[in-house]
Amino acid sequence: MGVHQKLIIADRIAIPVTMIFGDPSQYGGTAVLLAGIGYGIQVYADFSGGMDIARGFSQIIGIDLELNFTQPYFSVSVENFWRRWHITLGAFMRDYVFYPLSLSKFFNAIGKKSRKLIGDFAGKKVAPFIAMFLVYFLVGFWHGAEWKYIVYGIWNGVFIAGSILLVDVYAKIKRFLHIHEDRFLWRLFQIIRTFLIISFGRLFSRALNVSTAFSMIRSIFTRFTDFAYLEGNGTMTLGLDKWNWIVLLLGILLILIVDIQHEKGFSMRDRIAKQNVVFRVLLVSLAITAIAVIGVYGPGFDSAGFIYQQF
Amino acid sequence: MEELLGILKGIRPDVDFEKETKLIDDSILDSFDIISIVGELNEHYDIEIDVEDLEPDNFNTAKAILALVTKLQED
Repeated sequence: MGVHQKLIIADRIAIPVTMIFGDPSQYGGTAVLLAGIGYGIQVYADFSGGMDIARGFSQIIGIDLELNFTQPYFSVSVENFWRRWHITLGAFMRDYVFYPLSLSKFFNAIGKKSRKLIGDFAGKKVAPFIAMFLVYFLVGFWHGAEWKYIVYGIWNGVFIAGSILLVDVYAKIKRFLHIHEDRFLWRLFQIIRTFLIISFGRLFSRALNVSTAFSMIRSIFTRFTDFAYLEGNGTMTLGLDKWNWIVLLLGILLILIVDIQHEKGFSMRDRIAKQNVVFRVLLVSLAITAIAVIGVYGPGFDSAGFIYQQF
Repeated sequence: MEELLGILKGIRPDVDFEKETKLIDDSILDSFDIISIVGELNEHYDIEIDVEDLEPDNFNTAKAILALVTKLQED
Protein backbone atom coordinates (compact mmCIF):
# COMPACT_ATOMS: atom_id res chain seq x y z
CA MET A 1 0.00 0.00 0.00
CA GLY A 2 2.87 2.34 0.80
CA VAL A 3 4.45 1.81 -2.62
CA HIS A 4 1.04 2.43 -4.22
CA GLN A 5 0.70 5.73 -2.34
CA LYS A 6 4.21 6.82 -3.26
CA LEU A 7 4.50 5.74 -6.89
CA ILE A 8 0.93 5.90 -8.15
CA ILE A 9 -0.39 8.92 -6.25
CA ALA A 10 2.34 11.11 -4.75
CA ASP A 11 4.74 11.13 -7.69
CA ARG A 12 1.88 11.56 -10.18
CA ILE A 13 0.04 14.39 -8.41
CA ALA A 14 3.41 16.09 -7.88
CA ILE A 15 3.45 17.01 -11.57
CA PRO A 16 0.42 19.40 -11.67
CA VAL A 17 1.13 20.60 -8.12
CA THR A 18 4.70 21.57 -9.04
CA MET A 19 3.45 23.25 -12.21
CA ILE A 20 0.93 25.48 -10.41
CA PHE A 21 3.17 26.28 -7.42
CA GLY A 22 5.95 27.10 -9.90
CA ASP A 23 4.04 30.08 -11.27
CA PRO A 24 0.73 30.49 -9.41
CA SER A 25 -0.07 33.90 -10.91
CA GLN A 26 -0.67 32.17 -14.27
CA TYR A 27 -3.61 30.22 -12.90
CA GLY A 28 -7.07 31.06 -11.58
CA GLY A 29 -8.27 30.65 -8.00
CA THR A 30 -9.77 27.21 -8.58
CA ALA A 31 -6.45 25.84 -9.83
CA VAL A 32 -4.60 27.40 -6.89
CA LEU A 33 -7.08 25.87 -4.43
CA LEU A 34 -6.76 22.50 -6.15
CA ALA A 35 -2.97 22.81 -6.00
CA GLY A 36 -3.19 23.39 -2.24
CA ILE A 37 -5.48 20.39 -1.83
CA GLY A 38 -3.34 18.38 -4.26
CA TYR A 39 -0.20 19.19 -2.28
CA GLY A 40 -1.97 17.96 0.87
CA ILE A 41 -2.72 14.67 -0.90
CA GLN A 42 0.82 14.50 -2.25
CA VAL A 43 2.44 15.02 1.16
CA TYR A 44 0.13 12.47 2.79
CA ALA A 45 0.67 9.84 0.08
CA ASP A 46 4.40 10.51 0.08
CA PHE A 47 4.98 10.60 3.83
CA SER A 48 2.51 7.97 5.05
CA GLY A 49 3.38 5.83 2.01
CA GLY A 50 7.04 6.05 3.00
CA MET A 51 6.14 5.17 6.59
CA ASP A 52 4.09 2.17 5.44
CA ILE A 53 7.05 0.91 3.41
CA ALA A 54 9.34 1.39 6.43
CA ARG A 55 6.84 -0.35 8.75
CA GLY A 56 6.46 -3.22 6.29
CA PHE A 57 10.20 -3.81 6.05
CA SER A 58 10.56 -3.50 9.82
CA GLN A 59 7.86 -6.10 10.40
CA ILE A 60 9.73 -8.50 8.11
CA ILE A 61 12.66 -8.36 10.54
CA GLY A 62 10.40 -8.49 13.59
CA ILE A 63 10.29 -4.81 14.57
CA ASP A 64 6.89 -3.17 15.02
CA LEU A 65 7.17 0.57 14.37
CA GLU A 66 4.55 2.91 15.84
CA LEU A 67 1.83 4.26 13.58
CA ASN A 68 2.64 7.79 12.45
CA PHE A 69 -0.73 8.56 10.82
CA THR A 70 -4.29 7.65 11.75
CA GLN A 71 -6.46 8.91 8.87
CA PRO A 72 -5.49 12.57 9.47
CA TYR A 73 -7.80 13.92 6.76
CA PHE A 74 -10.81 12.69 8.72
CA SER A 75 -9.89 15.06 11.56
CA VAL A 76 -12.72 17.19 12.92
CA SER A 77 -10.48 20.02 14.16
CA VAL A 78 -6.94 21.31 13.68
CA GLU A 79 -6.06 20.07 17.17
CA ASN A 80 -7.45 16.65 16.24
CA PHE A 81 -5.43 16.74 13.01
CA TRP A 82 -2.16 17.15 14.88
CA ARG A 83 -2.97 14.11 16.98
CA ARG A 84 -3.39 12.06 13.79
CA TRP A 85 -0.65 13.52 11.56
CA HIS A 86 3.04 12.82 12.16
CA ILE A 87 2.11 11.45 15.57
CA THR A 88 5.70 10.84 16.66
CA LEU A 89 6.63 14.51 16.14
CA GLY A 90 3.50 15.66 17.99
CA ALA A 91 4.19 13.31 20.89
CA PHE A 92 7.79 14.48 21.06
CA MET A 93 6.75 18.14 21.11
CA ARG A 94 4.08 17.45 23.75
CA ASP A 95 6.35 15.47 26.07
CA TYR A 96 9.57 17.42 25.65
CA VAL A 97 8.39 20.99 24.99
CA PHE A 98 4.71 21.62 25.85
CA TYR A 99 4.41 19.79 29.17
CA PRO A 100 7.80 20.78 30.64
CA LEU A 101 7.29 24.43 29.67
CA SER A 102 3.68 24.61 30.84
CA LEU A 103 4.54 23.08 34.21
CA SER A 104 7.74 25.08 34.75
CA LYS A 105 7.94 27.56 37.63
CA PHE A 106 8.43 30.44 35.19
CA PHE A 107 5.26 29.61 33.25
CA ASN A 108 3.42 29.04 36.50
CA ALA A 109 4.37 32.58 37.54
CA ILE A 110 3.19 33.91 34.16
CA GLY A 111 -0.12 32.09 34.69
CA LYS A 112 -0.66 33.61 38.14
CA LYS A 113 0.19 37.10 36.95
CA SER A 114 -2.04 36.94 33.90
CA ARG A 115 -4.98 35.69 35.98
CA LYS A 116 -4.64 38.74 38.20
CA LEU A 117 -4.43 41.03 35.20
CA ILE A 118 -7.09 39.68 32.84
CA GLY A 119 -9.24 37.41 34.97
CA ASP A 120 -9.57 33.68 35.50
CA PHE A 121 -10.88 32.44 32.13
CA ALA A 122 -8.34 34.07 29.80
CA GLY A 123 -5.58 34.31 32.41
CA LYS A 124 -5.43 30.55 32.89
CA LYS A 125 -4.82 30.11 29.17
CA VAL A 126 -1.94 32.55 28.73
CA ALA A 127 0.87 30.25 29.87
CA PRO A 128 -0.26 27.13 27.94
CA PHE A 129 -0.92 29.33 24.89
CA ILE A 130 2.65 30.68 24.97
CA ALA A 131 3.91 27.08 25.27
CA MET A 132 1.64 25.97 22.42
CA PHE A 133 2.75 28.77 20.08
CA LEU A 134 6.34 27.90 20.86
CA VAL A 135 5.55 24.28 19.92
CA TYR A 136 4.06 25.33 16.57
CA PHE A 137 6.92 27.75 15.99
CA LEU A 138 9.28 24.79 16.47
CA VAL A 139 7.12 22.54 14.26
CA GLY A 140 7.45 25.17 11.52
CA PHE A 141 11.16 25.67 12.17
CA TRP A 142 11.66 21.91 12.10
CA HIS A 143 10.49 21.95 8.46
CA GLY A 144 13.08 24.57 7.54
CA ALA A 145 14.74 27.77 8.71
CA GLU A 146 12.55 30.04 6.58
CA TRP A 147 9.74 32.42 7.46
CA LYS A 148 7.26 30.50 5.31
CA TYR A 149 7.65 27.42 7.53
CA ILE A 150 7.35 29.50 10.69
CA VAL A 151 4.11 31.05 9.36
CA TYR A 152 2.88 27.54 8.50
CA GLY A 153 3.49 26.42 12.08
CA ILE A 154 1.92 29.52 13.66
CA TRP A 155 -1.09 29.26 11.30
CA ASN A 156 -2.01 25.97 13.00
CA GLY A 157 -1.47 27.44 16.46
CA VAL A 158 -3.80 30.36 15.69
CA PHE A 159 -6.70 28.06 14.79
CA ILE A 160 -6.20 25.87 17.85
CA ALA A 161 -6.03 28.92 20.13
CA GLY A 162 -9.15 30.32 18.45
CA SER A 163 -11.10 27.10 18.96
CA ILE A 164 -10.22 27.07 22.69
CA LEU A 165 -10.96 30.76 23.30
CA LEU A 166 -14.21 30.74 21.35
CA VAL A 167 -15.54 27.46 22.73
CA ASP A 168 -18.55 29.18 24.38
CA VAL A 169 -19.31 31.20 21.24
CA TYR A 170 -19.26 28.03 19.13
CA ALA A 171 -21.54 26.27 21.63
CA LYS A 172 -24.04 29.15 21.42
CA ILE A 173 -23.96 29.14 17.60
CA LYS A 174 -24.50 25.38 17.57
CA ARG A 175 -27.45 25.69 19.95
CA PHE A 176 -28.89 28.56 17.92
CA LEU A 177 -28.63 26.59 14.67
CA HIS A 178 -29.91 23.38 16.34
CA ILE A 179 -26.79 21.48 15.29
CA HIS A 180 -26.49 17.94 16.62
CA GLU A 181 -22.85 16.96 16.96
CA ASP A 182 -23.47 13.29 16.25
CA ARG A 183 -25.06 13.94 12.86
CA PHE A 184 -23.11 12.75 9.82
CA LEU A 185 -23.53 16.06 7.95
CA TRP A 186 -22.07 18.04 10.84
CA ARG A 187 -19.10 15.69 11.04
CA LEU A 188 -18.62 15.96 7.28
CA PHE A 189 -18.68 19.76 7.56
CA GLN A 190 -16.06 19.59 10.34
CA ILE A 191 -13.84 17.30 8.24
CA ILE A 192 -14.04 19.52 5.14
CA ARG A 193 -13.49 22.69 7.20
CA THR A 194 -10.40 21.18 8.89
CA PHE A 195 -9.06 19.89 5.59
CA LEU A 196 -9.37 23.35 4.02
CA ILE A 197 -7.71 25.09 6.99
CA ILE A 198 -4.83 22.62 6.81
CA SER A 199 -4.59 22.98 3.01
CA PHE A 200 -4.50 26.79 3.21
CA GLY A 201 -1.76 26.52 5.83
CA ARG A 202 0.19 24.21 3.56
CA LEU A 203 0.25 26.90 0.87
CA PHE A 204 2.79 28.65 3.10
CA SER A 205 5.06 25.65 3.41
CA ARG A 206 4.96 24.85 -0.32
CA ALA A 207 4.91 28.32 -1.89
CA LEU A 208 8.11 30.08 -2.82
CA ASN A 209 7.78 32.48 0.11
CA VAL A 210 5.24 34.05 2.49
CA SER A 211 4.12 36.82 0.13
CA THR A 212 3.51 34.31 -2.70
CA ALA A 213 1.42 32.21 -0.31
CA PHE A 214 -0.67 35.25 0.65
CA SER A 215 -1.21 36.18 -3.00
CA MET A 216 -2.24 32.56 -3.68
CA ILE A 217 -4.84 32.76 -0.89
CA ARG A 218 -6.00 36.11 -2.27
CA SER A 219 -6.28 34.54 -5.70
CA ILE A 220 -8.51 31.74 -4.35
CA PHE A 221 -11.01 34.35 -3.16
CA THR A 222 -10.70 36.98 -5.88
CA ARG A 223 -10.01 34.91 -9.00
CA PHE A 224 -12.02 31.81 -8.18
CA THR A 225 -14.00 31.95 -11.40
CA ASP A 226 -11.06 33.02 -13.55
CA PHE A 227 -10.66 30.15 -16.00
CA ALA A 228 -8.75 32.09 -18.65
CA TYR A 229 -5.72 29.85 -18.12
CA LEU A 230 -7.69 26.90 -19.51
CA GLU A 231 -8.08 28.40 -22.95
CA GLY A 232 -6.33 26.27 -25.49
CA ASN A 233 -2.74 26.70 -24.37
CA GLY A 234 -2.27 23.13 -23.25
CA THR A 235 -2.07 23.96 -19.55
CA MET A 236 -5.50 22.38 -19.05
CA THR A 237 -3.89 19.00 -18.64
CA LEU A 238 -1.41 20.41 -16.11
CA GLY A 239 1.27 17.97 -17.20
CA LEU A 240 -0.91 14.84 -17.05
CA ASP A 241 -2.90 13.32 -19.88
CA LYS A 242 -6.45 12.00 -19.48
CA TRP A 243 -5.31 8.46 -18.69
CA ASN A 244 -2.98 9.69 -15.93
CA TRP A 245 -5.74 11.82 -14.39
CA ILE A 246 -8.03 8.76 -14.31
CA VAL A 247 -5.31 6.63 -12.70
CA LEU A 248 -4.63 9.39 -10.16
CA LEU A 249 -8.29 9.81 -9.22
CA LEU A 250 -8.79 6.04 -8.92
CA GLY A 251 -5.65 5.80 -6.78
CA ILE A 252 -6.95 8.52 -4.47
CA LEU A 253 -10.34 6.79 -4.35
CA LEU A 254 -8.66 3.55 -3.27
CA ILE A 255 -6.79 5.32 -0.44
CA LEU A 256 -10.05 6.99 0.58
CA ILE A 257 -11.87 3.64 0.76
CA VAL A 258 -9.03 2.07 2.78
CA ASP A 259 -8.93 5.04 5.16
CA ILE A 260 -12.72 4.93 5.65
CA GLN A 261 -12.40 1.24 6.58
CA HIS A 262 -9.59 2.02 9.03
CA GLU A 263 -11.61 4.89 10.48
CA LYS A 264 -14.46 2.45 11.12
CA GLY A 265 -12.01 0.22 12.96
CA PHE A 266 -11.61 -2.45 10.28
CA SER A 267 -8.11 -3.58 9.40
CA MET A 268 -7.79 -4.17 5.66
CA ARG A 269 -4.66 -6.19 6.30
CA ASP A 270 -6.43 -8.56 8.71
CA ARG A 271 -9.31 -8.93 6.27
CA ILE A 272 -6.96 -9.82 3.42
CA ALA A 273 -4.99 -12.18 5.68
CA LYS A 274 -8.22 -14.12 6.37
CA GLN A 275 -8.80 -14.80 2.65
CA ASN A 276 -7.57 -17.99 1.02
CA VAL A 277 -4.07 -18.23 -0.35
CA VAL A 278 -5.09 -18.07 -4.04
CA PHE A 279 -6.92 -14.80 -3.49
CA ARG A 280 -3.96 -13.34 -1.60
CA VAL A 281 -1.44 -14.35 -4.26
CA LEU A 282 -3.67 -12.87 -6.96
CA LEU A 283 -4.12 -9.64 -5.02
CA VAL A 284 -0.40 -9.21 -4.38
CA SER A 285 0.39 -10.00 -8.04
CA LEU A 286 -2.22 -7.47 -9.15
CA ALA A 287 -0.77 -4.83 -6.82
CA ILE A 288 2.79 -5.43 -8.05
CA THR A 289 1.64 -5.34 -11.68
CA ALA A 290 -0.31 -2.12 -11.07
CA ILE A 291 2.74 -0.47 -9.52
CA ALA A 292 4.97 -1.68 -12.37
CA VAL A 293 2.55 -0.55 -15.09
CA ILE A 294 1.07 2.65 -13.72
CA GLY A 295 3.64 3.71 -11.15
CA VAL A 296 5.43 6.97 -11.90
CA TYR A 297 9.13 6.21 -12.21
CA GLY A 298 11.91 6.04 -14.73
CA PRO A 299 13.92 8.83 -16.38
CA GLY A 300 12.69 12.27 -15.40
CA PHE A 301 10.97 11.12 -12.24
CA ASP A 302 12.54 11.27 -8.83
CA SER A 303 10.75 8.26 -7.41
CA ALA A 304 13.51 7.61 -4.88
CA GLY A 305 13.15 10.99 -3.20
CA PHE A 306 10.67 11.51 -0.37
CA ILE A 307 9.44 15.02 0.47
CA TYR A 308 10.15 14.52 4.17
CA GLN A 309 13.76 13.63 3.46
CA GLN A 310 14.45 17.35 3.27
CA PHE A 311 12.80 18.09 6.65
CA MET B 1 -13.77 11.90 45.22
CA GLU B 2 -16.79 14.25 44.92
CA GLU B 3 -14.47 17.24 45.28
CA LEU B 4 -12.16 15.95 42.54
CA LEU B 5 -15.07 15.18 40.21
CA GLY B 6 -16.27 18.76 40.71
CA ILE B 7 -12.86 20.09 39.61
CA LEU B 8 -12.71 17.79 36.60
CA LYS B 9 -16.27 18.63 35.56
CA GLY B 10 -15.40 22.32 35.83
CA ILE B 11 -12.76 21.82 33.13
CA ARG B 12 -14.59 19.33 30.89
CA PRO B 13 -18.33 19.38 31.65
CA ASP B 14 -19.00 17.12 28.66
CA VAL B 15 -17.02 14.16 30.04
CA ASP B 16 -18.45 11.50 32.37
CA PHE B 17 -15.43 11.20 34.66
CA GLU B 18 -17.14 8.59 36.84
CA LYS B 19 -17.53 6.13 33.98
CA GLU B 20 -14.62 6.79 31.61
CA THR B 21 -11.66 4.46 32.04
CA LYS B 22 -9.52 5.55 29.10
CA LEU B 23 -9.41 9.32 29.37
CA ILE B 24 -5.93 9.44 27.83
CA ASP B 25 -5.82 6.22 25.79
CA ASP B 26 -9.02 7.17 23.96
CA SER B 27 -7.88 10.81 23.55
CA ILE B 28 -10.88 12.10 25.53
CA LEU B 29 -8.57 14.56 27.30
CA ASP B 30 -6.08 16.52 25.22
CA SER B 31 -2.83 18.10 26.36
CA PHE B 32 -4.59 21.40 27.09
CA ASP B 33 -7.07 19.63 29.38
CA ILE B 34 -4.20 17.89 31.17
CA ILE B 35 -2.39 21.18 31.79
CA SER B 36 -5.65 22.78 33.01
CA ILE B 37 -6.38 19.82 35.32
CA VAL B 38 -2.83 19.80 36.68
CA GLY B 39 -3.00 23.57 37.32
CA GLU B 40 -6.29 23.24 39.21
CA LEU B 41 -5.14 20.22 41.22
CA ASN B 42 -1.83 21.88 42.16
CA GLU B 43 -3.66 24.93 43.41
CA HIS B 44 -6.59 23.21 45.10
CA TYR B 45 -4.64 20.49 46.89
CA ASP B 46 -1.41 22.46 47.32
CA ILE B 47 0.65 19.80 45.57
CA GLU B 48 3.17 19.87 42.76
CA ILE B 49 2.44 17.50 39.89
CA ASP B 50 5.64 17.09 37.94
CA VAL B 51 6.23 16.32 34.23
CA GLU B 52 7.27 12.79 35.26
CA ASP B 53 3.79 12.29 36.76
CA LEU B 54 2.11 12.94 33.40
CA GLU B 55 1.82 9.24 32.61
CA PRO B 56 -1.37 7.93 30.94
CA ASP B 57 -1.86 5.54 33.87
CA ASN B 58 -2.13 8.50 36.25
CA PHE B 59 -4.83 10.23 34.21
CA ASN B 60 -6.88 7.49 32.55
CA THR B 61 -9.52 7.48 35.30
CA ALA B 62 -10.74 9.84 38.02
CA LYS B 63 -9.71 7.13 40.51
CA ALA B 64 -6.13 7.16 39.18
CA ILE B 65 -6.01 10.97 39.37
CA LEU B 66 -7.22 10.81 42.97
CA ALA B 67 -4.56 8.20 43.76
CA LEU B 68 -1.89 10.51 42.32
CA VAL B 69 -3.17 13.46 44.35
CA THR B 70 -3.26 11.37 47.53
CA LYS B 71 0.27 10.08 46.90
CA LEU B 72 1.64 13.58 46.36
CA GLN B 73 -0.15 14.87 49.46
CA GLU B 74 1.48 12.12 51.53
CA ASP B 75 4.99 12.78 50.13
